Amino acid sequence: MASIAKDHPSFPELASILPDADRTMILSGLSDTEMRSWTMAKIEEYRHCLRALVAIHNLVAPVHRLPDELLSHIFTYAWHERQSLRLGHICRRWRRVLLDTPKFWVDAVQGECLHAAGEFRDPPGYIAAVLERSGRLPIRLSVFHYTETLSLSMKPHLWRITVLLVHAETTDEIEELHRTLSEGLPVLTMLLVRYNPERCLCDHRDAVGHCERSTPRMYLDPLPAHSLPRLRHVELPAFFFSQVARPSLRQVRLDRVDSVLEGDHENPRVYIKDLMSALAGCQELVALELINTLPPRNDHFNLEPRQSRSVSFPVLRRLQVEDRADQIMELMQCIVFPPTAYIHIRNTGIRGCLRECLPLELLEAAVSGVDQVSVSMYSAVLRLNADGKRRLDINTMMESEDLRLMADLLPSKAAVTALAWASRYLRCGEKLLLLLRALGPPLKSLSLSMSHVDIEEALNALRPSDDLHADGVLCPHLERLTLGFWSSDSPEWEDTAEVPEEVARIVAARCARIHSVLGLRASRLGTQLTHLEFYECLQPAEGRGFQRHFYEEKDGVETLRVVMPGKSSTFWTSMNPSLQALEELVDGSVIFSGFRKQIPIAHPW
Amino acid sequence: MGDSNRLTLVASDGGKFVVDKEVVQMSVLLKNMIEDLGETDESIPIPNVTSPVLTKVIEFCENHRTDAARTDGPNVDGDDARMRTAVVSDWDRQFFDVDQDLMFEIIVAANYLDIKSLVDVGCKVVADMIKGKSPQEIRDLFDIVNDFSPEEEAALRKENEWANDR
Repeated sequence: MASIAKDHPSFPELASILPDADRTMILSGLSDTEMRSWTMAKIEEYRHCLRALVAIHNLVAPVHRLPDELLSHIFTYAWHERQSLRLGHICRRWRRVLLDTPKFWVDAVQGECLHAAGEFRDPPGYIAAVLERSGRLPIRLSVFHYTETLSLSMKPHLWRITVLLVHAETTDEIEELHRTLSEGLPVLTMLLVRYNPERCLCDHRDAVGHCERSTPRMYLDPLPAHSLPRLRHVELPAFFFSQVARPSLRQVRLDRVDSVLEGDHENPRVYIKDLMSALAGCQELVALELINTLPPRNDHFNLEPRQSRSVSFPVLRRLQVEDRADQIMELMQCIVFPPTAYIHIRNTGIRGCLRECLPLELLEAAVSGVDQVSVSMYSAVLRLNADGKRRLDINTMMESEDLRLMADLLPSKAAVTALAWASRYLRCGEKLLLLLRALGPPLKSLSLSMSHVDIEEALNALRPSDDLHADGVLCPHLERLTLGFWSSDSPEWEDTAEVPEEVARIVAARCARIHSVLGLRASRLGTQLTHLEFYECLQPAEGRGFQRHFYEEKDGVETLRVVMPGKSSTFWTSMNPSLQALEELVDGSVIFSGFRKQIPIAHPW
Repeated sequence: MGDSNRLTLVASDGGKFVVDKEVVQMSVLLKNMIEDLGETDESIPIPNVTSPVLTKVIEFCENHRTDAARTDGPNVDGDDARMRTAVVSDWDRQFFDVDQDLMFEIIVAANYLDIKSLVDVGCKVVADMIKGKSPQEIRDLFDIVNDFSPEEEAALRKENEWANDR
């Protein structure tokens, strides 16, 4: 038997903080075993006391005056990034309330793209846990890789997924996704599948890793008819569309990622017959985008006939096709849509002009009622607008024959009041004049950005000839004129705070030239412009004394930089007489809008 | 008979506040009481709210009185989403630049008086205070002590892995 004596050297330090009752117990002659048993019981008792004291401390903290519902409300705003999960590690109350705040967990689900596999794979159990904790609220889910494990985690929650974005890399993942979709997602409205086939790892590769498989198509059953009853919007790899197509769809974007691998069986081809057959079931489409959906004509897998029946989309408002010219033509011949729909064509091949992308009858329909035309030879874009709305955008080469065709079609189908033209190439003036003459008297606004040689040609055309009567003047009702002069041989202009005299002389010469043309027009027509603007496209200096303007073209296509001499510069002093002379010929504003670094793309609207 | 457009609120400590009816109608509780009482000179007691807190609540309502019409109507999911993503204005942030006792009392009072916009702003301000902070920084901020048992701590370690950035 052993006991702790009062004079044990450790006793005062050890026992002094204990309550008297405990000290008495310690000195009561307990055996070692009894002492160990007693102290263990006491430790547990004091642990409980400690937790109770901590709980009381926390209870009276100012933040804990908030009832659970308000603490929960705070958590609904608290998702920031993964670190926010640590809100559940603050104290027991915060954890309990956080776990009972489904909106927080919805934000955790929706706040980032979850990774079911790969280098950035989420820790085991994470995806299942956040899905579970998001309760019964609707969720929008974005995932990288669609694995079987993910599919199992999602299974109890399929009934509340409204948007599903999947980044898949293999056909296995597509097949797994197909299995999930087959089970039914009753409130899914949007399905987005980004498919980037990874390097083929199948057993059919040759010595250098090329796939030798000769059957590139993947066969999946169509999804059950009622599996996705609310699906409105899909963005899919084209080969997966046949399975998903259904009448409820309003917006469809199909694309195909070109693989650099020769075999490419991971990214199956789609034949126009199959594509049109699937689209035929979606006649309520409002928007359709087909991006590189068809195989090229010379594809050695493409042995099927290319003819397909036409499909009508009576309420289509937007059609976008990006492909090589022959595929565009093939698709456009099969798609029937209202003449007021906006068409956006982009030729991604290196061959094919306007006439090789669009059937003539479609082009005729598109130009009908158009009042604004914009041609950018520089970026190969033709844009047609009607009543302030876009009707047609085509990105493809435009040959003289194309412009001749437009010059034939436009006067008979439309009254064009505004023309914009941009070109960096020399000797485009003739093409411009072809169109300009065809558009005729309705034209009120003309905006040109092209070489000074071509503008000179245009000004010559606008200048009334001596032997013409007033009604023979080109564009007699012109009200607004914008001229951007591009000079490939502009003078060196570096490290200076002033516009060089040579450049100033050039601008003054432009003024004089414009003045002579406008003067003759005014005397012949008796009317004047209401707006004149001109600028120089060259490589101006950016030194002191210049105001620099940075801005973005419409659609964010191109950043344009304009350099303007300071108001007190000698440039303006020398320019003022020329500008004043022009003001006498314009019943409105005359603007020299500076020196631009680049030719702007044509579309001012 | 007094001004029919104004009424008197009595705080829990007896403080009296004469305010425009239009202002206090941001509170659904008071709006309903005013409708039930009809035209009356009677003061309305606010038993759960002290004078300093009521002063702040009235200040908020006066500043946001023109918002009331905009926030009327059903709270559809879209409104909720908009509210959750809306940024707290500089004025609102300044309004909540007070000690924690008063800040949380304002939120509790707003909840009692059913002033949704004040509750939302208050909760967003608190949420912004905790964003990006470690658990210990949050505990220090709000004077909270870690009360997890060792067993609970062990269970949390797994979730700690979840919270790591990828």
